[in-house]
Amino acid sequence: MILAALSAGALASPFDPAPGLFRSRAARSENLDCERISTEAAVRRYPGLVQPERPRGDFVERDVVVCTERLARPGLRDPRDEAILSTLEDTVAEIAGAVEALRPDLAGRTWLVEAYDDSPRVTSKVSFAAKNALMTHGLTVSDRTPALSAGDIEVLGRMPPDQAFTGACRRYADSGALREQDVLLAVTSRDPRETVLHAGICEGGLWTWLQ
Amino acid sequence: MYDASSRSTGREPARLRCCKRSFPQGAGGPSQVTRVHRPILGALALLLGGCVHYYQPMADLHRPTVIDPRLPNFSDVSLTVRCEPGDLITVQDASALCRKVATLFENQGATVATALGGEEAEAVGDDDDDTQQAAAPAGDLTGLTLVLRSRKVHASYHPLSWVFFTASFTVLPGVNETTFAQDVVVRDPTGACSRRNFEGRIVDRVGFGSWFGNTLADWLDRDKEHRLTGDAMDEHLSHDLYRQLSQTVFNAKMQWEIQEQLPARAPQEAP
Repeated sequence: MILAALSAGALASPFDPAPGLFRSRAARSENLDCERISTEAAVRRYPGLVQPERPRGDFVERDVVVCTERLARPGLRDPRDEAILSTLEDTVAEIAGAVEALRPDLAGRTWLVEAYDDSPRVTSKVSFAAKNALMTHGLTVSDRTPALSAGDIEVLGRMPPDQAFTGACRRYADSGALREQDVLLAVTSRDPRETVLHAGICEGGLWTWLQ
Repeated sequence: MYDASSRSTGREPARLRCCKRSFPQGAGGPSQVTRVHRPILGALALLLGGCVHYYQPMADLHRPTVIDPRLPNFSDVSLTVRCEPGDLITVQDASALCRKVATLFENQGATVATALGGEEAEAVGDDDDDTQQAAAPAGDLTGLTLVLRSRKVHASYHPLSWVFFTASFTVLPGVNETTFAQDVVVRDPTGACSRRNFEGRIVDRVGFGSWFGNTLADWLDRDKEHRLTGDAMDEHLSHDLYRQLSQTVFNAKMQWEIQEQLPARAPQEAP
């Protein structure tokens, strides 16, 4: 018992994020995003928490591993939702950058945003984030959502994704749901096995993939 | 001159062992001390206890994935897996890694070829039949190239822990650790590429205390998925890396399908 207690005490290094005797993989290390940084960088980033190196160097080598706990613990959200949402900020920033770079001629138009996903929660988060990203780039964004008739949706729903987007874009223009000064940015995933989002633009009844 | 292109054979992808075998080989400082003392300490540990290897995913290795590597996800893909030896893995380790990754994708329906070395080796290997076959996929297959580079980010030898390890007759653990990076590049037929960087940390705790405590915990408390002794590190690392590689290549394939529909523009220069 004494040996076991001694072993336990010895192994429980409280600041090491690696799995160990009292840290299961699921409970600790898989819930953390970590990066290794230099002591100098750590002192700058966390003043007071990390002591700077002594002028003549430290007696022992020191490492700094900075870990951030994830917002949602592993398993709480569907893996696909988690994969998309955990990188959503970067994804929408990239899409907004592509819009600005590839279609500067549309900068003066009013942008509508639609997101398509199996999960309504993910859809609303993606749509909200994409609108914010477009506004950050100085574009005019509307909350209006272009609508299609039930018949159109039924027909388009039976088409492969690429044809469906082209067909829907044409129907938006023909039905007047998308006005002349409007541009629709659609953000979607094309396959349930992928964890990246693609974006396309519907303008004047013509559909173009952005990325 | 170590281009060793070869066709893979369909079978169960083996677990990765390259990281455990390929600990720092650099000269000077802590690495040199580790290299000199590792055999002695290893023998001592075997006599008096054992060694437990801990794997901690750091960046992106434990990101959620959706793809199921048991399904034929790449039946329309011709994939060239190119592994580049570096400071972390030797040519032999790179070759073994290439074979395992090739098996992973072949099991998912891809037509796979492997090659070793960087850009120069690729040019030398142009005479090789397999390399030429990989570079020119037949029929409607999408030709993708997966480039794998392993890097040692950091290696650390904790001298105080070894002092305590010796003074406590191996009850207290001696600790070594290595942080590694797996750089992954997927190139589509136009040369455009997507990149991912995976980072992980391997911590070795040597000594009877570490081995005894974890063996006891594995035996009494932990379920199979969360065990830490034995081959657990290899299993966990392989599980994470194989899933991330499958997901990365699949995402690149989907991205290529979009690229094909874009209006023609100047091809991007490959790095």
